[in-house]
Amino acid sequence: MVMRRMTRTLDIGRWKAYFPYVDNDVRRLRTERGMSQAGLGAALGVSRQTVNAIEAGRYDPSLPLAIKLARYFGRAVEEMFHVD
Amino acid sequence: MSTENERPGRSGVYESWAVPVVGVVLGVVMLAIQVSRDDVGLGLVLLAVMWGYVAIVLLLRRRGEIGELLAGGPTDERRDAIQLRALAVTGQVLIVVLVVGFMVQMVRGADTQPWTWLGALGGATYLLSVVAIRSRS
Repeated sequence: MVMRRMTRTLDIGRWKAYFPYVDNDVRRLRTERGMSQAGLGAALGVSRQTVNAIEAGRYDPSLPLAIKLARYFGRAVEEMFHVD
Repeated sequence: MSTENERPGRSGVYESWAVPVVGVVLGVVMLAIQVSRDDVGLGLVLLAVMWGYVAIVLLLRRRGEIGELLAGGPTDERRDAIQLRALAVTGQVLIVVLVVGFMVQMVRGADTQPWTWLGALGGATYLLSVVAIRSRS
């Protein structure tokens, strides 16, 4: 019971049930510009690991960060992020 | 989670040194308490545990994200979310321990008061948090 509750808290799949999987073009846009994850992170004010997590789909950015990303690449948010 | 809070390396001098300083101070306080109780041995053990933790955290800080998270290093919205969820798991474990401890003490017919007060504090904190956070969300 306890383990189940803890597993539920940590279960990313459960969170994704609330927040549908969001694919994005961040990696493609970044590599097209020859940028590193650290460079993009510095430009956005987040860590390299956070950029990596966003690109890998492990972390969905907040709306302000998604907008910041989109503006950085000169795109609309819905052009960069695709909800299944 | 505002992007205003996402400056690179967001973590002031106070934040980045809070964990080590608190660890060092707690170790000294524990030593002082044990010395006042004429138990220098236990005091030194507690000091070593606290200072050891601080040393490990400082070593890990520059070696990866986990170290930075433990040491209160630079943060962003994702790291804040990690801390929040880790805190939630910690809270759940503590609540279960409190409830089980309370039950065990009751079955043994022992004093349940410390468990009762801690349980009441946990329950009240949770209740007030839900009310306060709900009103702001």
